Amino acid sequence: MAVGVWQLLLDMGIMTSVDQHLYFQDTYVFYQFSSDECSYLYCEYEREEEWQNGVKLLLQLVPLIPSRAGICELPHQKIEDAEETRDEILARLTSAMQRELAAVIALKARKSAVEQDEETGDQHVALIEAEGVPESQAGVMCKLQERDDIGRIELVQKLARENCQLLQTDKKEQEKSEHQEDEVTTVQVKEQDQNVLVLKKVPGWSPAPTSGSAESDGRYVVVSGTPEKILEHLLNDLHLEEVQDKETETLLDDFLLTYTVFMTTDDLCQALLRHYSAKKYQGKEENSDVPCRKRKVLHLVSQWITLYKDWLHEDEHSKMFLKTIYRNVLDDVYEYPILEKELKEFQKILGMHRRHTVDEYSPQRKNKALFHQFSLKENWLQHRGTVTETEETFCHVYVTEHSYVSVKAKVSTTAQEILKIVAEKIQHVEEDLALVAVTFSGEKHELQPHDLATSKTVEPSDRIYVYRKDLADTLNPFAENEESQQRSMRILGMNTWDLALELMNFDWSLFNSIHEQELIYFTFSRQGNGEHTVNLSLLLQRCNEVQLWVATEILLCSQLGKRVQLVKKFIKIAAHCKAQKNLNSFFAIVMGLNTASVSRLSQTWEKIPGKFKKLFTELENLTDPSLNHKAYRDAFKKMKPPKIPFMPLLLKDVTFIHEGNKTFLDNLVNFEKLHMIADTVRTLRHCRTNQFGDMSPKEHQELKSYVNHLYVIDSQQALFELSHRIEPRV
Amino acid sequence: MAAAGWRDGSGQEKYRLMVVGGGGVGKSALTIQFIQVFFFLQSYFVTDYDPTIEDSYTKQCVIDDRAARLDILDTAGQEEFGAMREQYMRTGEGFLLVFSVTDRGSFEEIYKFQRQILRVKDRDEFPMILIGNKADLDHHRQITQEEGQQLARQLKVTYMEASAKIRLNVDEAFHELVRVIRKFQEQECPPSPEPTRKEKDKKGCHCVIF
Repeated sequence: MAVGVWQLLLDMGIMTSVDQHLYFQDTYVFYQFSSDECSYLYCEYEREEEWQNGVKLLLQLVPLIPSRAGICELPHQKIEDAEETRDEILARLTSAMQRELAAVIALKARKSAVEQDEETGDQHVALIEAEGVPESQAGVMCKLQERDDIGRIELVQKLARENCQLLQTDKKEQEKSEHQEDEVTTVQVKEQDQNVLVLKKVPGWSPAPTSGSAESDGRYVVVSGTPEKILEHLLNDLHLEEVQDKETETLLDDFLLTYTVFMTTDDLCQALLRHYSAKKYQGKEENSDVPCRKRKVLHLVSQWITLYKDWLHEDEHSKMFLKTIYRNVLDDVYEYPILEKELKEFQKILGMHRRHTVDEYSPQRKNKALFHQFSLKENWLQHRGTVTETEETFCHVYVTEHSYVSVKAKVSTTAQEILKIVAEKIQHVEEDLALVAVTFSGEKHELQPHDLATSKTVEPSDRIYVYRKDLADTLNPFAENEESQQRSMRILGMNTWDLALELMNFDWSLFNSIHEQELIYFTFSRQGNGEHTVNLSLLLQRCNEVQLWVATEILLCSQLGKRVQLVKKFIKIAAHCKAQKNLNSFFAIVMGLNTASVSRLSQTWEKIPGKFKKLFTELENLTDPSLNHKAYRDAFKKMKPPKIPFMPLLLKDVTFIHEGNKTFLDNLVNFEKLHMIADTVRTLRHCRTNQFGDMSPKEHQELKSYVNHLYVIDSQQALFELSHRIEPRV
Repeated sequence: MAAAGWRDGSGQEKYRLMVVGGGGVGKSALTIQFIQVFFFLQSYFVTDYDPTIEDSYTKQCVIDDRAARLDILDTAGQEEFGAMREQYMRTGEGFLLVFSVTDRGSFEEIYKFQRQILRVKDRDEFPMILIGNKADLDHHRQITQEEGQQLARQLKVTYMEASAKIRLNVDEAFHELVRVIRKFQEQECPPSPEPTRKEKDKKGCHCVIF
């Protein structure tokens, strides 16, 4: 009887054999429910009595199916004992299985429009105690052992919509029940007595209107697991509809943001290809599972590409992978036209705009189309391969031993272009100046106008100096003298709001180019060479430079009256930065004003009007580190995006999440930790939700150039000397 | 904005202690070990430490029969970018100068940090202690205990060897620093009248120099 029921399920396509067997066998074969398209929202078999009806319906159908000679002998004579058998069958089912079965049957029943007059018999159905097994949705696998002995069925349970195998003996099942009563909030999935996935129930809302069910009011999140199981769980959870539920969306995002921590890109590529190509079946028609899985893999890949953008093109494994999977999709789209949607999506993301029709993939045309596509793709990959060359750095051109002009330069920027900026900055005629690179050991060589200032001719440890051609013998003709005074005066004539806007423009362009993964790399490969954290480093450098700039400007101003003006000006700019939600420059300016060499200028501070002092105290309070920067955190939370966070604090957070929590425990990935890190990383995304447009009303070329290329003294010692010179210690 | 002072309205002592040291000396590990009392009691795979909440760096302690709330300032994760360091130095009331006994470079950096603190505080001395961390890694040692002691004598501070990993001298180090701060404050501002603060005193020390 039981065999008959299973066979029926198989025939109806409710259940499919992993190995694509057509006939049910009560032996070592894996079966899987196919319910990816099934919605649980309106499953009429959800409630208990309906479930009984469903089972009845099944049993009524069983005699109708033709028996398969030699494979599945249906014991027709036992039909009279249906009630009893039903109990027996059901006794073996867990609630997870029940629900699963119920939903799928319901769906199929509706589809095939089998009208059945349901009697309202009061048959007793032995319901199994809910074991804390979550509402499951898709892909229960069960392992059936020993022919004709349904009592020995080992249920391979679907836990929390999970396609994992929980191999248990009858004894173990009992243990598990007890265990789960103690700890209903976690579910551990074991394979060969080892935990491979741990899920935790979170209080949440269930979209299913099954108010009677206590199981459905919580969702499960991944606590830990092996990389493979987490990926498998994720793929199972994915929906192919436009909108994912919140947990799945978060899980997908967490996984993609942090996978580099626990598996290599190559591992991920291999695993995805395995999942994509899994269950290649031969000859069976009604198998919606295969394209479904393929689509899920493609969906994940699409998200991956979207998230990592150019990064994937710099990695050989992922490049190879993209080629392979793209070729696979082209191959498959003929067989599974449903994949075309994903194919188009894929092409769109990869930047291919050519339209395709299914026709193009017909066997006759396939090779040609493939060839064409393939070469298109190669071009695309090569084109993107040059991205690193457009990367920007700050080029420091030293004017004196301890001061430099910071110029944001591309790799392709020439010495001449840089010289022009520096000349303008230090207000010298460009023709009188030249750049020279000085190595660590003191060797000098002049840079020719067309040399690339950041190229291989200049080692990272080299310093670039600007020098006057007429004074070629002395390397540092520029002293902190009257010329510097002139520079300090310039800012006094500038509009503080516009200046703050230019700071915002500059910071925003840096902030906006930071890849979310840079924070992960920054934290997890600190011993690394700084690869993959270029944009992040730029913003942090900028923060330091703005701080130094404030101190430099003030300390280079030897007239007390002007110095007071300058301090007031910077207080105003800081207030504007806050108003413009540029917290990175805001902190930098306040810290610049608070730097020891500036804050010791008591004559200056005494002359600051009370109104400004009060304003400054308010601004300072925002930078107070008490209670883990509570003031800043609270204020920042309230600000609407677009906004720029104080980056060093974000890095501190990620660092301490990393240091304070283990990444692996018992060989499982501590996914909760990775979720915390991903959450912090998502701050960036939130801040950039709305784009910051260029808000400056008119083009301020002078202002822009002033703000973009800051002139700073980078030695604390030199700053203190200046400080003591203008206001000697009493 | 000066330090919060050592007593709030409730009369409880509060101290801001800053952990100073180069990258990779294990500063954050010391901080986390100190804050996380229940580290080993946590149940299965619960994520132990969330550094984004209000009291992630705060701990209540009783030291020599006096209760105190300690706020730990730590710049771990941004060593290359000094932005926050000076800010923390201004607010810190006591400093743990941390180096790793397995890294001579970090030992030599200590001078630099000590000088910066004194400069920020504009003082000739300030509560600090010297910590040689990673003392469990004896076979990788580059700095002997004697060298540590010698540097401590030069800086006129106490020297302790600690290990965040095996939880050696973690609490002791922070507690010892609190004692140093108490002693320093009693010398500077003998108890009695409510300490007055000068408006322009922006250096994080509320003590008035006469």
